[in-house]
Amino acid sequence: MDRSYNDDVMEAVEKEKDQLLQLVGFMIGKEHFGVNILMVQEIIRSAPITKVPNAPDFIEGVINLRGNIIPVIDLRQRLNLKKEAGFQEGNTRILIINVSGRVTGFVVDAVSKVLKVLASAIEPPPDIVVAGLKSKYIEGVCEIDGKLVILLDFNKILQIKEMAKLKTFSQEGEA
Amino acid sequence: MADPSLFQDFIPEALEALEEMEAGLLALEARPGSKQVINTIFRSAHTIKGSAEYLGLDRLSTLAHKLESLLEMFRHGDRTPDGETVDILMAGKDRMVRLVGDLSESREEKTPVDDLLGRLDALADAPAAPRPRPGAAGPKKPAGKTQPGKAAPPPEEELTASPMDDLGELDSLLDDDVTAPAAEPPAALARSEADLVRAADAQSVKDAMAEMDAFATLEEEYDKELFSIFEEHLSEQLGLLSESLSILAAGPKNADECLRALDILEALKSSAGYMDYQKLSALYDEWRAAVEGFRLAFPRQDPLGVKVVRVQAETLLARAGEVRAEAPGEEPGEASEGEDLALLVGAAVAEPPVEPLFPPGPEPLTAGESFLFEEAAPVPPAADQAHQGLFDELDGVFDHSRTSPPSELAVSDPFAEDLEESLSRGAAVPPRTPTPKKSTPAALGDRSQPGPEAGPPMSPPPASRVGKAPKAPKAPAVPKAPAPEPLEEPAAAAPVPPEPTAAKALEAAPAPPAVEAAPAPQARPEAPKDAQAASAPEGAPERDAVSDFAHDELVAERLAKQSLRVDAGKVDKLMNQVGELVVSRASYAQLYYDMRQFQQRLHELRMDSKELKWVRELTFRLSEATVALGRVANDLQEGVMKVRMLPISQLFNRYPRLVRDLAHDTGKKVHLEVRGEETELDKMVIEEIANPLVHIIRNAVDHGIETVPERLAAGKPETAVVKLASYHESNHVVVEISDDGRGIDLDRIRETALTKGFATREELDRMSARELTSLIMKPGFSTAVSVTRTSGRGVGMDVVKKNIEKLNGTVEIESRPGQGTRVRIKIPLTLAIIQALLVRVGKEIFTLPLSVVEETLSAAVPEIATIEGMEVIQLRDRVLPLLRLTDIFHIKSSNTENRKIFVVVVNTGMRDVGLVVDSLIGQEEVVIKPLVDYLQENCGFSGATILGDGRISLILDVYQMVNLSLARMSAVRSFLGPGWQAGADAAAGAIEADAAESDAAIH
Repeated sequence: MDRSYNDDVMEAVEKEKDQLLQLVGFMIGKEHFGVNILMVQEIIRSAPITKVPNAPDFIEGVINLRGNIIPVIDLRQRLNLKKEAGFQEGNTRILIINVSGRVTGFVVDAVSKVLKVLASAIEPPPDIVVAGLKSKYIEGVCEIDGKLVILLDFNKILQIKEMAKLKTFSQEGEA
Repeated sequence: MADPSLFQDFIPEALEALEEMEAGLLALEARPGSKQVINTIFRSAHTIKGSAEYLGLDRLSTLAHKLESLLEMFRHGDRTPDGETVDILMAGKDRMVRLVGDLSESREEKTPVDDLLGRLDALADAPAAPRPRPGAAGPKKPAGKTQPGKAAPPPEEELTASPMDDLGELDSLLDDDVTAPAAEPPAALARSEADLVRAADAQSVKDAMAEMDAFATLEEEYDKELFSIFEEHLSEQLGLLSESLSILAAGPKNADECLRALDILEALKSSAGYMDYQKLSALYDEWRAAVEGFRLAFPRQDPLGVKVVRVQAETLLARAGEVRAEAPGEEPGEASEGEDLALLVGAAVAEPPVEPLFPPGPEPLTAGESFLFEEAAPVPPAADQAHQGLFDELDGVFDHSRTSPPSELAVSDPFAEDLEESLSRGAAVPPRTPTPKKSTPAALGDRSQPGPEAGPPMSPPPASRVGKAPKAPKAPAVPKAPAPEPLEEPAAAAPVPPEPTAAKALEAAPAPPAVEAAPAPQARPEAPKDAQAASAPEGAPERDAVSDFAHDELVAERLAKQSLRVDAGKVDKLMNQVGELVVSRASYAQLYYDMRQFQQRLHELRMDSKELKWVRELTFRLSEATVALGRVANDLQEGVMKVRMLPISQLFNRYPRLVRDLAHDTGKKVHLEVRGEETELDKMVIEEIANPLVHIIRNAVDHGIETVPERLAAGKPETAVVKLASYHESNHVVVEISDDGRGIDLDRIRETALTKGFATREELDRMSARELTSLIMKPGFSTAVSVTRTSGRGVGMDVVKKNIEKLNGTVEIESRPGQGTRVRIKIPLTLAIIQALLVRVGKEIFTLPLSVVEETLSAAVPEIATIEGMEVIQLRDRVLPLLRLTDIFHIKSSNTENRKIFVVVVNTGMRDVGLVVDSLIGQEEVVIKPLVDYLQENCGFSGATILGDGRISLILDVYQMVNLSLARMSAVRSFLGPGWQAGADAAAGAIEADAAESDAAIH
């Protein structure tokens, strides 16, 4: 489930270079994002989230997913996106994603649908900032139905070094 | 040919052997003369050498080999172990540990060994000159002369037989040669003889086995069924064969039996042929030749060859049994099976020397020899001498059993080339038995047993080991010795399964020469024969009885030792599931509770009693089911926990060495006493407390224990005692480290505390002795005047404390000036499940490990005083600082009642702190689940647990949390005086360091 799973994913990605890629499409604010469907373990509506005091802001807390304690990250906060007007609480979902063996939940504003895209249609991230997002978190972009869909690089998003730093910053701030 | 896939098995095994070796070395230092100890060490080194060679680990095997050579000298009594040699052996052992470490890390040997090899070589050469040890060697001169000659031949045979396909081999031969002449006669002879045959065994048998194993691993290509039929047939026939051979070997010449054996061999061979096992067939051919030779040489009954065959047959049989036992249950995990097999082959071949019932020719000799040594060790000189007589006799016997070249040759011959010459000369020289009769008449006369013992190669079945037992009591002072022996011997031998196999096979000769050489001897001396004849009638029955007994014991031992090596991950998974079960048990209890309330409510509503009865029944059944589930869950939990439990001896065994080294360095005399090493503890916990214990023991030896003159001046015995004890106390395990040293000097603590600014004088005056002693657990606190190599830098006890607290354990120090210090570590049995106190803060429920909770209390708000911004209450005779969890966690309090607060008094080590919570929920057993690393670090939580209702509760890491909040309160650092200040500073420092560390770890 962990390493081999991801290897499989990579392999699958590799193989499907010219094939159809299936993405789970989701939204944060008005932006459309996508993540390879093979990385998504499940999508849950909501779960009682237990806050973890003193944790970085973007960590919503932890949830009990059938006996496993899984951290939940607020993707909007993590990516420093603004909360748009017209945000509806009821549509939020938690994407349970297996990021290199670390099963992590990500809170998103809404999950749209499964998108299909040709692997060759995915372009590398542009140098400029897309949708107020640092390009280092972007794996690629593609256009689907006239909309720009951003493929996120969850490995970078989960980069712990940065998170640890962030945390010490936030602690220093508090102190 | 290094096969990394085998490392997985090799590494733990080698480490085990190394551990044993270290224990042996330490024992050796205590009792330099003990042959038994030397043998134990030798076995360990040998085990490692064997496996390492098999795996193609050159450095490891070469090093082990050199160590072995050195040990060999001790074994032969040519050298006595002294400080220098033991040191080098230790160094060798350490180096091997590092090499094994290399293997587990990078799969290859990295640590260089050349320097050590050089030292070893130098040592090995050194004795050659001063060897003749005039006084001691004098009387045994004659024997000595014969002996080396005999020691030499085996290498020759090796040479001719295995045309040194391996340079290392040559090297080892050379070494052997250097050693052999130096060696004291009888032992060396015995060994070379035994080794030779054993080696021969190993080589050919191993080949055959390897072939079989190869099949087992290739099962896919071969018909499994066919293989199992073959296996069965093999076992059956081998059983018959060994039976038949033992009749041959024991009884008078029996032509029919011979034919029967040949028939069986024929059958075996045909089945091997059918399976296309060429090496096996070849082996059978050898056997057949041996039996045939035996049959033809009718008048001269020399069962040696037959016995060799029998040993081999039995080895093979044992192996076949193992293969069969494994085969059925085994899933297609061929690869792993293959590994196992390889190791098992080792076990099978290694077995003979230990197995008492094994009556094979040469085998008993080794066993016998080691027995002799073992007995000799604790026995006074007189007995020793008697044994010496025995050796000499042995020597004589050997002389006869093999045609040997004259001794001088080998003695003077340090080079392999000369071996050829010596061989040819040896062949030319008539097998004279030089001295045995002369040198041993006394021994012979005194005891008739020595005969059969000494000459197992020719004597009937009774194994040497057993033969020993009846004899032992005869030795004047022996009574004590034999008793512990049977216990000790198998114990020592048991963990050394993969012994000679590969090593032997490589190091010594291949089968054919051995088999041939063995039956060759014709001229037999009267002396041994007589002895044999004399002793056989009376000695035999008794010995048999004893042998049965010993055998039973051994079997029992072996059964008891049966164990599995299981991937820790599997057990963890199981543990997780059990954790889930425990959680669901809790939720059932909750369900039952809800049901009862529901029933109550219905009752209050005056429901129809008929319907109420139905509800009541349901409630009852629910409670029954809950109880049943609870029982099963408890048992299961206990069972799985036990799986993870290991005796703490695993840990304690590491410390004798530490104490030795420390004592060495400091010039003190220290004896380590270990008690309660059978106490079982979670493997994880064992690993976690290993280092803290090192610190404490260092402290004890370095600071606690006085130098020898000081001790004498204080009227204490010269040798100090450090006690390491472990026992259970309810749900905890207590590990105590006590010494009888000078104790902790409270005045010096006061001084240091003052000068280093840990506390003010008034504070110090107020402190109890216990509080004072606990000061030494503060970071940076050291009373040592000078920094030594091992301690005095002021890091140590605080780290100990931190580590133990991480395990939810506690450390207490007790000290009586002039009488010693006792450090008491109390740790939970397991890390996975803890007793905990649940508290509510706001809407959240937090879990506090019960181990840190001192007491809970409720206080009226007016009792709270504020000192410089910090809330405190008066608790009995002391001031208790309060920390509000609501503040620390930025949670809004749900406590509506404003007149009362709940306080949980927790022990953070240096001082108790009161945590203010909204309410107390209760005590519960919770399963700890780890949090993701980035949540666990520096948040003040050590994990989380799932409550009965599925909610998550975070488990507080009280130590860290208190430090965190103290760090934050640095603004009010003036509060509790310099002591707190330092604590807070240190805490802040620790946090920064931690952060830096975690950063580094991430890079």
